[in-house]
This record gives sequence, C-alpha cells and structure tokens, in this order.
Amino acid sequence: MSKVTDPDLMMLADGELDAAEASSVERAAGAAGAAKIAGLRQVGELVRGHLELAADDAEDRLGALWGLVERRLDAPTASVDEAVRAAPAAVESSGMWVRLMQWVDVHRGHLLTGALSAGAVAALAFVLRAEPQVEIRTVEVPVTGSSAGPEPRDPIVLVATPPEVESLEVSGGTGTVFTIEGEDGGSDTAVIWVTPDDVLEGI
Amino acid sequence: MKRSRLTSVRRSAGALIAGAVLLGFFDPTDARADAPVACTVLEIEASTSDAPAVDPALRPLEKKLKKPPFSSWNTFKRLGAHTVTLELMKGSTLTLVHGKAGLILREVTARGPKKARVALGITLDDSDGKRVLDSKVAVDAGDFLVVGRSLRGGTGQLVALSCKP
Repeated sequence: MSKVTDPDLMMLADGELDAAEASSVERAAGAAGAAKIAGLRQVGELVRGHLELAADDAEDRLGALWGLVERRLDAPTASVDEAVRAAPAAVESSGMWVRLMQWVDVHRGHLLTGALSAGAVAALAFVLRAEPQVEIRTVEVPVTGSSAGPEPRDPIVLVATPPEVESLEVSGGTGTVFTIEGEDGGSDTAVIWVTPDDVLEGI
Repeated sequence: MKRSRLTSVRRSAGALIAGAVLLGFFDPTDARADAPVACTVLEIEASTSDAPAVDPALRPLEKKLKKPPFSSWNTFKRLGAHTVTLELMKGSTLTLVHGKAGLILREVTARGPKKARVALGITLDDSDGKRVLDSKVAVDAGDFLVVGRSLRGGTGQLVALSCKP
C-alpha cells in the first residue's frame, strides 16, 4: 500500500479491516497515521459512551413501550386501545395532554369526518332555511273599571291658539275684526269684515 | 376596494341610525316649515229671505253662521268652492263670483303640543278689480277664517278659508 487515506484509517479504527490489511495500513500510516487512529478511537468511545448514557436515561420510558410491543406480539388480535389500557403506568406517566393527543391520533379520522359532516349540515340548514313567517293576531282585550291595571292615558290633545290678525289694510271702507267663539271646545273663528263707504247697509 | 366598501357600509349604517334617532326625537305629526299647505276656500253669499236656509255644503260653518255678526242674515248660499295648494311665499289668485281673492303662504310653524300654525297673506278685490282688503293673519291649521264685505242690496260676500299642511 503506497498511500493511506483517511477512510482507510477510519475503517482500521472501527475494526472493519482483516488482520493482513490492518497490519499493512498501520505500517503505511506511520507515526502520523497512528496518532489519527488513536484520536478516532477516542472520539468513537466518547460517542458510544454518550449514546449508552442516553439509552440508560430512556430505558424507563422505553420499557413500557417495549412491554406494549411484546404484548401486541403475544396478542395480535387485541386492539390498540386495549393495549394502551393495559399499560396504565405508561399512560399515567405521560400526563393528560399526551393522553389527549394519543386519543386524537387514534380518532383523527372520526374527528375529521364529524367536522365535515357538521359543516355540511350547517351549510344546508343555512341555504334551505325557511323564510320567517309573521302572523299578526288581533286580540280584543276587555276594558274593566277595576283599579288593578294602570290608568288609561289621556289622548294627546293639541292646544288651540286664537287666530291673530297681524295687519289689516282696507281701501274705501271700514275694517272690523270679530272673533266667534268655538263651541264644545272648538277653536275660535276670526272674521274680518269690510264695510265699504258707499254701502249704506251693513251688518 | 374592500376598505372603501366597509366605509360605505359604515356610513350607510350611520345614516340609518341618525335617521332613526331623528324619528325618535321628533313627532312625525309636526308640520315642516317649508311643507305646502292645502287650502279650502268657500265663497258664500249671505242674504235675508222669508225662507231661511243654509246651503248643505256649508255644514261645517252652519253653527258659526247663526251667530253674530252673521245672524243678521238668514240665508247662506255657497257660490263656489276652491281647493288650492299653497307653497311657501308663492302667491295664488282665485277668481270669485264677486271679485278675486289672493292668498300667499307666509309661514307654517309647529310648536310642541300646539296645533300647527299657518300664517297667510290675504287680499280681496271687488268685481271692478279694486283692492278692498289686504291683511296678514295667522290661524291654527284646519280652523276657518272668514273674510267678508257688505254688498249693495243688503247682501254680503263671505270668503271662508281653511288651510292645513
């Protein structure tokens, strides 16, 4: 092997080369390649350690899931709901929001179908709604003289104003203004009478 | 576009609300100051006869005609009847059997619980066209006003008029 590349060093550090190839690469790599291999191995150990720690942390949460999977495998005809109910510890630890979201995930199709149906029904009801019918009924209410009810209101009576003669000009005669009083609350009537000078008879 | 339509709708709604408020505050029976008025003018001849009679067409005035100063006559005959619509400050001339009558609507006022008031200018000319009377009066809408003059032969000419918006 004349020249050693980084992928070769990575395969060596990962143990993916057989013994002959590994020894050939180690010889060709020299001191610089050996340092790279050592660094790669250290980084690999760090990554593996981190992933193992993360797996340990998730083990409690994944345990219930694995149990669920195992039960599903043991009882393939059981429904998902039954399996969920069979793992109360996992459900309780998830909280109300997670339970709600799980329920929504399971019934998403039902919810969408219900919403669309409700919208269609509302649209039909709006389009096909009947015109409001107004029925006017006349009901005769007997008038009683008892004091139980409120006193009837007096009808509005407009106030009359006596007639006014603001100006009067008479040519060739005498003008007289009379007022005839109205009867039964009626209005007065103004009379303007002219007696010409050349008329001897008058009122 | 949408904004202008919304503005138009808001303006229309505002106008409707303003109209409703105005209708609520003002009595719809109130007369408008510039509204035309319809006047009924009756020309009556008064005389004395052995057969007292009041023309049935003068029934609205019958009681008044039996009171002084008209009680000096006992026969009243309607010579003519006119219905004229007067507009504010526009004169109208009526041809009578005995001359002419001129009317002009000066003002119409409505003051709360009081009857609408009609202010008129009235002129009366004799058969020769001579101005006999020129007067300005104000009466309640619907009430009669009587203008008259003595004629030769002991008769009288009465012009009774009533105006209402």
